[in-house]
Amino acid sequence: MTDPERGATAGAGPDGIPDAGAGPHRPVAPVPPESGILGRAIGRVGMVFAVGFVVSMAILIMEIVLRYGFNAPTLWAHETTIFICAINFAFGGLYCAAKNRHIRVVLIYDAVGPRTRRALDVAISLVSAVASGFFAYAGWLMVERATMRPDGSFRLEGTGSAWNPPTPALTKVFLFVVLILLCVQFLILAVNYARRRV
Amino acid sequence: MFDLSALGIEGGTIVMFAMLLGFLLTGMPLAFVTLLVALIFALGWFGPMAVPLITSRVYSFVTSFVFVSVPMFVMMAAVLDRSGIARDLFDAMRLVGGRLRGGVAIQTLIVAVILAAMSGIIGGEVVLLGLLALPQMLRLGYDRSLAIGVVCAGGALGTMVPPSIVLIIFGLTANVSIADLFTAAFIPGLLLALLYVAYVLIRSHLEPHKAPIPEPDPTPLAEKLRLLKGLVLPLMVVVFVLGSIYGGIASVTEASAVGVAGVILSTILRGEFSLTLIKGAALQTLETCGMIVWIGIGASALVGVFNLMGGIKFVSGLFLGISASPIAILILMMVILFVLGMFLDWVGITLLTMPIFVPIITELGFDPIWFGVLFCMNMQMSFLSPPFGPAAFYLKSVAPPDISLGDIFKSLLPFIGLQAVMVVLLIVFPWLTGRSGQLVP
Repeated sequence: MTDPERGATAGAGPDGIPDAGAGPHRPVAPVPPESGILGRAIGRVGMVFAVGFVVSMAILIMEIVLRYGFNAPTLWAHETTIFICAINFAFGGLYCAAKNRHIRVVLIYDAVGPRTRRALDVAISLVSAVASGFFAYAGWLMVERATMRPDGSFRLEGTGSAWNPPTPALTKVFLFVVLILLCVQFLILAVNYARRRV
Repeated sequence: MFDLSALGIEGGTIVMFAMLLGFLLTGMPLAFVTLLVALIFALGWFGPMAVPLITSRVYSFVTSFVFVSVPMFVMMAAVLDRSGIARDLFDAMRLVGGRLRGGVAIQTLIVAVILAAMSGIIGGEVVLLGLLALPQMLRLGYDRSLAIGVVCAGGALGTMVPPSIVLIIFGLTANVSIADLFTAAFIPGLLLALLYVAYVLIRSHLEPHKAPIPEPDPTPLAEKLRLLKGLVLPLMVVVFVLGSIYGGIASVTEASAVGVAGVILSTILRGEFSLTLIKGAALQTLETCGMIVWIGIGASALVGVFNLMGGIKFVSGLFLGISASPIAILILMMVILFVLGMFLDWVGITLLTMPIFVPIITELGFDPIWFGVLFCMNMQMSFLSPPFGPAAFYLKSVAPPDISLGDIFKSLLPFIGLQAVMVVLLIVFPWLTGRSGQLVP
């Protein structure tokens, strides 16, 4: 199930769907105006995270070379790539929300008139804000346990490996921040959809 | 606070299903529908104590090492789309088609298999073939629906031919070895491609006007050799990626990174590499992974809560009670998956249904790896089946404007039929996957 409207014009779907046409300069779809300043900021920061995937790839290759070429596997390569990717996955959800690229069923959505569609847009954004706000609360419970000992003193949860980086705690804090931003982004979308003329 | 557990598991399951359906039909993003329903049930059924369980499931979902291979394969496809590698590959394969009736269609299918063996992401492939092969077949006077069908069905082969992202996510959900899944899917994937080739040959033999033979086009030997160069880089990438997985040299995740490096290296060798290219590919990866992972986050939360409610046990009880014949239950599952595939995307289907289906399958004594291949073949159909088959939409975005979505779906029917034949073959002859189909005790 892709979003047929966007699928046919700009390309959408879970599979790395290219926009119409191929080639090195194919543009990446822009952030819609409804997403506001926050959405534009998210769109811009996206590049920082996107580069993380290239870095992960380089680390993995380096690990293979070190293991077979120099018989010197590292302790940190796998945990670092997992951390980078986890952060990117979390941010990716926010990025898709700002760009309105999350996958949905548009069976009814596409069939209704512009007024009903605006009402749906507002309602969907509000409910999504509730869902992410709700989940942010759940995320907070997780952050609490990852950053505090039972007696309330501060510590960062580690992976428990020989290297033991504090990445689990950092990932959880980041996910929590993303969820708050998601909630805000959906509220902004709801307001701007409501103000849209039809 | 309302107490949902008073509904009992039957009522709870029905309410949950109705809520999912209701929210989904409004057009709300799937990821947030599942998250919301999961949280409502966690709180309403168990109270705040159950909430950390959801978040810890979500956390372990996004931090698994195998999952890192998903962005790698997506990025590989994104770089591939932006380079001329596929175009040169297509030109090189012209030498195969030659003056055979239906030659260009077969050439397209071979290119599709090689592209599928490189990365296993379908969207990009359908678009690439739609840009390369479709215009050429139409220009030569091929029957439109034959040409469209070959492009869409060929492009969707990425699901079956390893490395396949569908198999990776199945492996993660079902907790089975992804390398084993890749081994088992190899022959069925190729067989499906061969089935397509046979179909093209038979159709063009029976109705010669549907696949005219191109005018003889004397290509000098030097030109032929030059064209063949287009084969070298893609085959190198295939050998590196599949070789390191099957050879046990690198994990699936590492092999996927090798694939990305291989494709990037190819663009450098071809003089196509640029910062714009890599930035565009990386951004597209971020977006695609955002979609896939968040559907996963929501589904994994929902399945976690449903399991805690005793829902999975309840549903498997229902399934096992339907019939004493394991095959009947298996076929029912296939039908359910096919129907779901018409409306939902494969990521959602895999993550929502497999935690329920796979335990039933093992309980029935079937081999989960074989079931994975069967499932993947079924999801192949979901790419093509109306009204939401993604492959049709990808093709629509690049096809000539006079080809409508209806035309595309109509052209796909015979190919969906061939996929169904393949599903049946896999059920009747499980050894096609190199496995017995039964669980070895």
